[in-house]
Amino acid sequence: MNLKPTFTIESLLEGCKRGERKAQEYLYKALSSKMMAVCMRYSKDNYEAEDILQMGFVKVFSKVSEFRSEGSFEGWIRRIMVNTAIETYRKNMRSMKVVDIEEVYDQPQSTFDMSQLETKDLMKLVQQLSSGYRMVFNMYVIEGYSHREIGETLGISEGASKSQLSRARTILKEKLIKIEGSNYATYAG
Amino acid sequence: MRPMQDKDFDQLFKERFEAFEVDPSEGLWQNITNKLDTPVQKQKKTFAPYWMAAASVVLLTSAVLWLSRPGEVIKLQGKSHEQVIVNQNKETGKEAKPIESQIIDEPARKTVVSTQPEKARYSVSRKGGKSEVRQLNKTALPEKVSPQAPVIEEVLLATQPVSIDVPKQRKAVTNEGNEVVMAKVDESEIEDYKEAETTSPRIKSVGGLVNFVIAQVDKRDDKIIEFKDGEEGSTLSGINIGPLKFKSRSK
Repeated sequence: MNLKPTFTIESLLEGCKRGERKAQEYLYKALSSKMMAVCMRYSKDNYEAEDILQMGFVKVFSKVSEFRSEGSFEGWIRRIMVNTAIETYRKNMRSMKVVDIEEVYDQPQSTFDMSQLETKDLMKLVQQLSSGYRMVFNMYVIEGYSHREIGETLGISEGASKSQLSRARTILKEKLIKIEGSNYATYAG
Repeated sequence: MRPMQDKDFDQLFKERFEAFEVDPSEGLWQNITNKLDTPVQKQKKTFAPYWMAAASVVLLTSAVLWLSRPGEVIKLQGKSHEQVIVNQNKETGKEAKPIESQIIDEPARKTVVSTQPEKARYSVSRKGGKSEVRQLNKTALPEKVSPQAPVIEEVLLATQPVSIDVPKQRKAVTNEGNEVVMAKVDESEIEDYKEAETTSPRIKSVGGLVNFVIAQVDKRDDKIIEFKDGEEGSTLSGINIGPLKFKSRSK
């Protein structure tokens, strides 16, 4: 019998609005691993991801009174994480010189048997993308932003968003082929 | 290998990532509570820009005040001119007054008076009938003036030495019922003078401002540094550092 108190995320909302530490902690425990995965997609490593996660949760707790129950509470928290990641990227952009042009050759479109791959390996591939490609890929593919929205948010043109997405895909495919090749090699050997 | 659509490729990633969960490190919740417990620091950070904004507003206003200072000084100059003008008018007024008093005896001199400025003539013509003056003069006349009173005042005024300080004279002029119009005239003339005076020496450029500041400090003929306003902004027109002197000829 599970005596650990279980809460739905929505039921924690009121406690969080009142600033109750217990409610905040339960909310964190319920969502931190999911949100960590979101932050990881936008980061080059777990340290960066945890920084974003921490900032995101602080924002969630300090802005929870602004949450109107129009969508799900979890969806709202996820958006805050994504926005925090985008802000962090933009801040870094200012101090970082952009070396974005990777030599990419279009791979013949092929199918991938990703069932053999663990998601954490896919995550590594995404994290290895240069930050610009990673942003566009995540925002378009996972979060479902349009190219126009991505362009506006990141301060690039719609066309640049499109071309960065296609380059990101090409890089990922190239790497998947390599992994599949090595997997085949291990099976063969 | 079968060709794969981008859409399908994207879908694979999307499905995988949406079901993915990774536990963050243990200490992270503690970090978050620490941040939540110290909102003061956060506030301090956010207030810093406000302080900067306030400081820049203060800087700006003081800069504006400083820049507008030369204008004020010129106005003061205009005032000193005003004083001179009042003195001059005082003289003309004095000229007019004897004439006025004479008019009562010799109406023939009216022609002479007409060579005076127009306003002087008004006051003269009004002089003829006291009742008329009150109707024409819209500015309040001081109570009831006995028919002889203004004349006496005029005489007094006329005999007053010029050395009397200016504000007093002006007061006397305006207090005098019959002279109010004249005082007004003077004012408009002064206005003209003022305009003429203030427009010409106004500081138009940085060079002009520097000249003005230098002029306050350096009273020599050849200033330590001097600028000249040309068609293409201000140019250096003179330098005087002891033995090293330079002065452009085209001045």
